[in-house]
Amino acid sequence: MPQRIVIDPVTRIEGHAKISLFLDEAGNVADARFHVVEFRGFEKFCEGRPMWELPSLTARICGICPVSHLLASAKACDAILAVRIPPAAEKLRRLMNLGQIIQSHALSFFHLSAPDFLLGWDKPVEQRNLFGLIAAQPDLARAGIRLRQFGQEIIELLGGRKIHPAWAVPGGVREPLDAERRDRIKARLPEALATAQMGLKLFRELLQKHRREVQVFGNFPSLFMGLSNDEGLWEHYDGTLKFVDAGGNVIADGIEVGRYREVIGEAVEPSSYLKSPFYKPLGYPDGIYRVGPLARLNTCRAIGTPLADAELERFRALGRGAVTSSFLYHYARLIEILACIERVQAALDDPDLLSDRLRADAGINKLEAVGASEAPRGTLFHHYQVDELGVLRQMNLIIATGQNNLAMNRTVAQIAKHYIQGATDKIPEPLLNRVEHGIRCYDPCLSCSTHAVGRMPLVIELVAADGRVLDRVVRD
Amino acid sequence: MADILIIGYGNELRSDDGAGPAVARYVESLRLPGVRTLVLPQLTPELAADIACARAVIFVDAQPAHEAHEVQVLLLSPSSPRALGSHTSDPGALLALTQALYGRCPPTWLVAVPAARFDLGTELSPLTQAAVGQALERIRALCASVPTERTEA
Repeated sequence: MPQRIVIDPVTRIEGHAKISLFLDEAGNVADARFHVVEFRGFEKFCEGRPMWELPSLTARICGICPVSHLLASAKACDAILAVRIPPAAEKLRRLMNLGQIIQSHALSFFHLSAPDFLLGWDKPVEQRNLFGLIAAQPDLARAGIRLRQFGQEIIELLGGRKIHPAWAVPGGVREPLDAERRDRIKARLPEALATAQMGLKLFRELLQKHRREVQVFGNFPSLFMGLSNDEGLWEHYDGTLKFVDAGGNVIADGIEVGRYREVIGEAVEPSSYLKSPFYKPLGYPDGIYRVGPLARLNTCRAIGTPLADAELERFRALGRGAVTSSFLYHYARLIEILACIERVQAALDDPDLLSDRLRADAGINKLEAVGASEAPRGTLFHHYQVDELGVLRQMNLIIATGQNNLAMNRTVAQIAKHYIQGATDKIPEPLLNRVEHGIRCYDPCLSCSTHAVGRMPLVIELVAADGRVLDRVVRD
Repeated sequence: MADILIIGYGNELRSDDGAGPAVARYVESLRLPGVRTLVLPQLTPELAADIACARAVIFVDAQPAHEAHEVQVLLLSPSSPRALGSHTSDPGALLALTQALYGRCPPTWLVAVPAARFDLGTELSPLTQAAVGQALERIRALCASVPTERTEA
C-alpha cells in the first residue's frame, strides 16, 4: 500500500517548511513534496499603493535579500517611467547587488550549510550547527562572519543601512557614493578575497569525500535559467532570459524579461503556498528548471574575471554540458562570491562611481512593466500594472525559491529513494539529515517565496498509500 | 580605547517597537565620546564581530508595557545558542556567539523600554515617548560606570 514520510521542520533555511515522502504499495519511495506552510500575501496587499512606494515596500518581503526586491522593483518602476537611469546609478545599483550576493552566499555556505559537510552528516543535531563549526574550525567560522559583514557593509555604505535600505528608487538611486566610503570598501577586499579562496580550497577538498552526495543530492537532468547579457557573460542585474538544458545546449535566449509569461508558467499545488513555475514550451511538470548560482554558471559563457573564470573551468569539469548536481550549488556559490569580489574591485576603480547624477525624473509613461534581476537564490521578477496616476492595480512576483520548487521536490525524492531501501514505516535518522541538506542546497528563502509572520515548523512525514501517516519527525 | 557600543533595534514601522532605534538615535545625536551607536531592525550574526571589539555593549529594545511600566536595565550573559537564527537573534544568543567565536564577551546590558503599541505606525505612544528620556539617563549612567579599559563579562 502506498505510504508517506513527513520531515518537519527543515531547519537552517530562511523560514520553515514540511516534507512529505509518499510510499507506493510495496513500501518504496514513490514521490516527495516540499510544502511551504507560510503565507504572506505581498502581491495582494500592495494593490492600491502608489508605485513610488513599491521598492521600499517590497524590500520588506525579506530580511536576508531585501536588496534583490529593492532592485527588481526599482527596475519595474524605471520601465513604468520609461526612463533609462543615469550610468552612475546603474553602476551603484550593481555594486549593491554584488554586496547582497556576497553576504547572502557567505551566510548560506559558512553558517547554514558548512556544519553538515564539515562536521559530518550523522553528528547529533545539537552539535551539527554553527557553534559546532566554531568549535571545530574557529578560523573558518570567523572568516565567514567577516565575509558576510563585508557584503552587509557595502549595502550599508551605499544605502545608509544594511537591512531594508530605501535607496534605489524609480529612476535611479537616492544618494551617491563618496571617496571615503569607496575606500572603506576597497580596504576590505583583500581579506574578502582570501576568505573566498579559503572556502573554495576547502570545498574542492571536501568534494573528494562527498562523491555520494554529489551523485544523489539533486543530480538529475533539468533546464537552467538565468539572465544573460550581450557578451554571454555572468550577469546579476540586467539582460535577457536564457535557458540551457542538461547537456549545456541553449534552448532559448534573448527573451526580454517583459515577455516572461511566454516562457514561464506558474502552477499551483494545493499542498503548498509556494508556486511551481515551469518552462511553458515543455509543460507542467516536464518544464522543470533551476535558477540561482548553479543555473547562472550553467547559462553563462564565462564570468569575465580571471580568478572566477579559472574556478569556473574546474567547476565545469564536474559536468557533461551543464553541471547537474544540486549539491554543487555550494561550489557555485563560492565561485560567485569570488566573481562578486573581483567585480567590486573593478567597479571601485571606475571614477564614474562617484558621480552625483543619479536620478531620471519622469511621470507615468507605461501602465505595465516587468523588472528582473538576479537575487542570490536566482532570477527575481516584479511585474506591475498601474493606473494613470501610478497606483498599483496588480502585482505578480516570481521568486527564485519558487522556481526551484520542482527541483527541490525531485531532490528530496532522489535522496529518499537512496536512503530508504525496501519497505519501511520509520524515518531513518541518516535520511532526515540528508533530506534537510538536500533542501538547504537551494538555500530556499520561504519569507520571499510565500510573500507568515513568525517561525513556521517543518515536519517529515512518512505516509502510506491510503493516507495513513506511518511516522512523523518534528524538529524545532 | 575601545568604544561602548549602543545597539538600538526594532521595527520603526511598528509604533513602539521603534523605541530601541529612537533611543539609539538620541544617543547618537549627543555625540558622547567613546560611544558608537547602531540602529538596526533586527539582530544578525555578524554583529558578533562588533561586540567582540567593544568595551561594553548596551542593547536597547522595546518591552510590552504589561511586563513593566518603567525602563528596566538588565545585565546580560551568554544564553542558549538555539535562539540564534540567520534573520533574527536575541542579545543573549549573540553574546554566546561572540564568546564562541572570539573568546571574549564585554559587559553587556539590555535597556528595556516599555511599549504600549505594536501596530503599524511610525509614532511612539505617549508612554514610550516619556520612557525614552528615562532610558537616555540610564544609558548615560551605564556609560559612566564602564571602566576605560576592556574587561570581560
